[in-house]
This record gives sequence, structure tokens and C-alpha cells, in this order.
Amino acid sequence: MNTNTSLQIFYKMMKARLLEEVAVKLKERGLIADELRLSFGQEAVAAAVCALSLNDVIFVPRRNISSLIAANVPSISILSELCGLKEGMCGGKGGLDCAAWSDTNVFGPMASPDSSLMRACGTALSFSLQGLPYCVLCIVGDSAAARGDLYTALNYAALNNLRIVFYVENNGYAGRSRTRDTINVSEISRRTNGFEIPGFTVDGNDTNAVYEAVDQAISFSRQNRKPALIEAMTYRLAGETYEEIQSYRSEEEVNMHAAIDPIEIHTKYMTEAGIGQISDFLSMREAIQEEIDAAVDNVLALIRERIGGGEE
Amino acid sequence: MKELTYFKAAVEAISRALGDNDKIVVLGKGMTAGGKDGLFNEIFLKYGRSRVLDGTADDKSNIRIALGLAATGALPLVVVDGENLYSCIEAIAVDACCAQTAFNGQYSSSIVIWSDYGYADGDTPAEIFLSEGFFASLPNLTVYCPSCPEDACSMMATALRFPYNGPTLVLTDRSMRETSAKVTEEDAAPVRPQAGSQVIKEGGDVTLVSYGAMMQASMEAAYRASQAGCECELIDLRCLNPIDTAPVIASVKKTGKLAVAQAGWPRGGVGDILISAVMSSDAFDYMEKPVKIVSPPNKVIPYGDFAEKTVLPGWEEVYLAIISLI
Repeated sequence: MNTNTSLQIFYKMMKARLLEEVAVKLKERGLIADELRLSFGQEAVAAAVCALSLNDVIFVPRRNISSLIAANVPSISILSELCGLKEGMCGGKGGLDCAAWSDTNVFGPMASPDSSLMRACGTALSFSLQGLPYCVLCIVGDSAAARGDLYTALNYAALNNLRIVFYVENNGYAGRSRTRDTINVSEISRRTNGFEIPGFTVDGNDTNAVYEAVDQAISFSRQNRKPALIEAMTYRLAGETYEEIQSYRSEEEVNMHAAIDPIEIHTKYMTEAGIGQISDFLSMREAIQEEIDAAVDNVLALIRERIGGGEE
Repeated sequence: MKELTYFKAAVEAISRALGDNDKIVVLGKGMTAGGKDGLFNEIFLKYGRSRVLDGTADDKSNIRIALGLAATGALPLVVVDGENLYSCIEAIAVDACCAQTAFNGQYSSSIVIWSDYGYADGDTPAEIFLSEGFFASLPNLTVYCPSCPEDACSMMATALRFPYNGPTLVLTDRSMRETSAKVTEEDAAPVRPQAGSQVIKEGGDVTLVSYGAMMQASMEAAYRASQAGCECELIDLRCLNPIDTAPVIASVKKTGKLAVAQAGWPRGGVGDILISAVMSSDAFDYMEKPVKIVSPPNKVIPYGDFAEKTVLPGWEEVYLAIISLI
């Protein structure tokens, strides 16, 4: 990972973290009707997205604010979509479940957590038919990995020599169920053995590990026309939805995992590598905060305009 | 002009469309092996693996693959087995139908799905599909339901021009597999306007509406009723979503009587959708008798019943419905 990539990953992770903080405030003010699926603690997905090249395609998961920021979707487009405004990434028509952003080739999950797997195969098939070297990164949660379509997708992609990397964010929970209660292997990546394709499990909070694994998987897939799967072990600090009552786990458990912060880990890497000092990163954070505050002001102004002016 | 069976007439349109537009690809189970009954043998020999693609063994996954293809510029036709149509509902109703609105037009979701449906001799309860009324109720889905080889050809040709921002479903009734007719150049050329209801026979006594395979029984019944002195106005719906109700409403204003003959389940079927449209129009004031629906009974059809020929209504049931309205 070079310096530029490191800084980019930091920027995206921090932006996702701060954006979710303001999304919570908007939700509490009643300005977001949809359920809020927060991804704080899972921001290291940015490192996976940064391993892609121009024209590659990203299928984002349901818990997708970190992935969308990583895929360069502007924060105002995400916030506006959450608030159902026509300035949103899908004109306020899809919400984040159906998020899409054609500027950077982003596709949303749609029907069910696993429905993107086969659509991603279709897109990879399209590139293959057109003779284009583009790769598809399909990010899903572990709940999708517990469903049947993963096997259909791995089998189909391997059989048809598709350039696609499946990135499974294993955050320990599928809705209210613990992943270990829904999936009968300790490492989901071992599922790939049955399809004779590479699969690796990495520490999903360690940006270096994520970047290296995905970078290699993408290169492998691009060169060999084969799919690969990376499982990233992380933890869902948020509830299934923001408002959910989490009767199924203890506060101690959550606090224990909250101590492992991917942004802190990444910051430590950067200071050790001499990319910058803590004070540099704090001022970067301030600049991002200002950017997000400006986006929020814009969204609030739009909402006021709609209510006050009665537009449309 | 060629003598073609119902299914082969649709294949004729597909073959021509592949030649006319190189963005069209065909996807389905075992397509490179010629598809079901070898219907795609010639197409595969002519167009090869770059245009004729094997999907997975799972039809709902194939619909999603088609959507992934469509989003990046291809125009996919996905061929589905009717016995798996129920399992495809999520992929059609959510992924395909919602995409245009939910993605706000950023990616194309124009795909054509060709499936057989209905009930043919020897089908087990798990194989039949009599819920076409469900697809008729979905927003942003276009459903063509040809009642003869000529329409199978022209409707497939129309669908493969991809005129809609969204999915098109072409439903061909499997009981008509052997039905054949002369298909003209005009049927095969993709120049016909969008499918709408068509008055097949004019008459002033009873409005009889049908679609798909039940058109055959309805034509026979209308002919017999005519011999008995009752002139039916027979209308073929042809497109089940959206349903072109205008010719039906105009006809009911003339006759005051309405019968619907359908092969689908009676509850929530095409007849229900049509009748609610007619009853909420100004044709209501012209009604002289209660509406009649001719359909199979609302029950799971046991395998052995095919031997008894008691399951699907025939021309006799339609005839009795017409006569009861006079």
C-alpha cells in the first residue's frame, strides 16, 4: 500500500464514521424514514474498495454507508437519499437498500441480502462477453453467505471464468442471529474449496490485511479469469437497525469489540510508516467534519425549502 | 410463410431478432445443448457461445444474471421453465420490476423473460402454473400472452425490440405446444404496434373475453352459440399487463353481458382484474346480468385428474356460461 492509498483509506474511513454520526442525528430528528443500518466499526471495507481500478464495478451490501463512501459517492447524495430527497443518489426513490451510483459503477443490493450475488455474476459475464478486463467486487454480509445464492454464484463464476471477487463482511451477526449459530464453519472462506477457487479469511479491521488480500484477489481474478472470495472478520457494533432493542447480546460484548477500532489501527500504521503525525490526522478529521457539516447544512436547507416553499 | 408450432413461432422471432440486433443474448438452462425440446438447436449453431449462454440450474438466478447483463448494455432474453416460475417471483417482482424506479434510471433493467405456464396433460401439482393473474398485478411488468402461433411470433418480436424500461414477460401456454399455424412475414417482422386487446369476432349479445390457450375453447363456444342464435363479441386480451380494457368496456356497453374464460386460478386472476376495471367504469350502468367467470376450480389439481379431462374448462363450460347469460 503506498502513501497515497493509505491517506485515501483514512479519508474514506473517517468520512464514513462522521457521516454516520450525522445520519443518526437526522434520524433522531425524524428526517430519515427508513431503518438506519450503520456500519461503524466496519469502515476498513474502504481498503477493499481502494484495491479496485477505474471501470471496475462495486456491488455494495445492505449495511453500506462505509462502502458507498469508499466508492466515492458524495456525502450529500447519500444523506439526501436517506432523507428521500430528489437530490439523492437515486433521486430519493430507492433508499440505501437500492443504492446505485453509475458515476463510479456502484450497484445496490435490492431484494434480499444475497440478490446482488447473481446480478454481479451477470455484470462480470457481460464484461467477459465484451472482452473487457474489468473486475467486479461483490460485497455482501455474512447473512448472504448463509443463503443458497452464494453457492450458485461461486459455482457459476468458476464455471464461466468470471472476473469477480466476493468480499464477505463477517460482522458476527445476521439480524438477531449470531453468525456462528447460522453457519456451520468457522471460516466462510473454506466454502470455496468445493468450487476449486481461492478463498481467504483476513482480519477485517486491519486495513493492511484487507488491502493486501483484496489487491491480490483482484490481480488473480483479472489474470486468471477466475473468481475468488475474501472473508473479512469484523464486528457489528451497531444494532441490526438503529432503533433495534439489542436483547440478544450484552453491552460488555459490544464494548470489548468497540475497543478494536479500524480507524485507530490504520492511524497507527500511518504514524509508524512516517506518513504523518497524530496532529496531521486530527486536522484531516476536522477538514472532513467541515465537509460533512456543509453537506448536512445543504440537506437541511433543501428540507426547509420543501416544507416552507411547498415545492412539488 | 411457414407452418410453425406455437413454440417454434416464438423461436423464429428470436432467431430473427438475434440477426437484427447484436446486443441481444439468449440465456437459460442448457441453452448450448439446444434448450428444452431442442428448440434452440439451430439458433445455437448459427450464433454460438457469444450469443447463446448457459445459465445456472436455477431459473431465478438466471433472471438476476440477465439483470446484471442488462445493466452493462446487453439486451438479454432469459428462458425459464414454467415449473420454476413460482421460485422466480422474488427476482421478477423485486429485482426486475423495481430497478427502473429504485435506481432512478441509472442502469437499464430491460430484459425479456420467456416462460411456459399453465397445465398440460400429465403435469403433477408441483409443475403447474396457474397464477398468471399475479404477474398481471405487478407494476412495471409487461406481460404478453399469445393465443396462437402468429401472436407468439409477433409478440416475441415486439418484446425483443425492448420498447420498455423494465422487464417483459412472454407467457406461452404449454398445453398449446402442438398447435401450429402459418406464420407470415408480417407476423415475424417486428413492426406490429404494442399488443392490445383485439376483437376476434363481433357480436351484440354477449361479451366473451379470454386469452392464451382458453381462446381456442372460447372460439369454439362462440361458434356454437352463434349457431344457436346468440352472437358473442369475442375479445382476446393478448397483453395481461397492462390490460387494454377499452375494447371490453365498449363491448359491454353494447351487450350488457360479460363472460370471462381463463385457464388460471379463479381467485385474484386476470378475470378479477378485468371485471373490477369494467365494473368501475361507466359500463356498469349497462350491465344486465351478473358477470360469469369460467375457470378451473380453486383447488390443487391432483396428478391423476388429467386422465379424466375434468380439470381445465373446455368449450362446453364456456358455452354454458354464454347461454346462461341470455
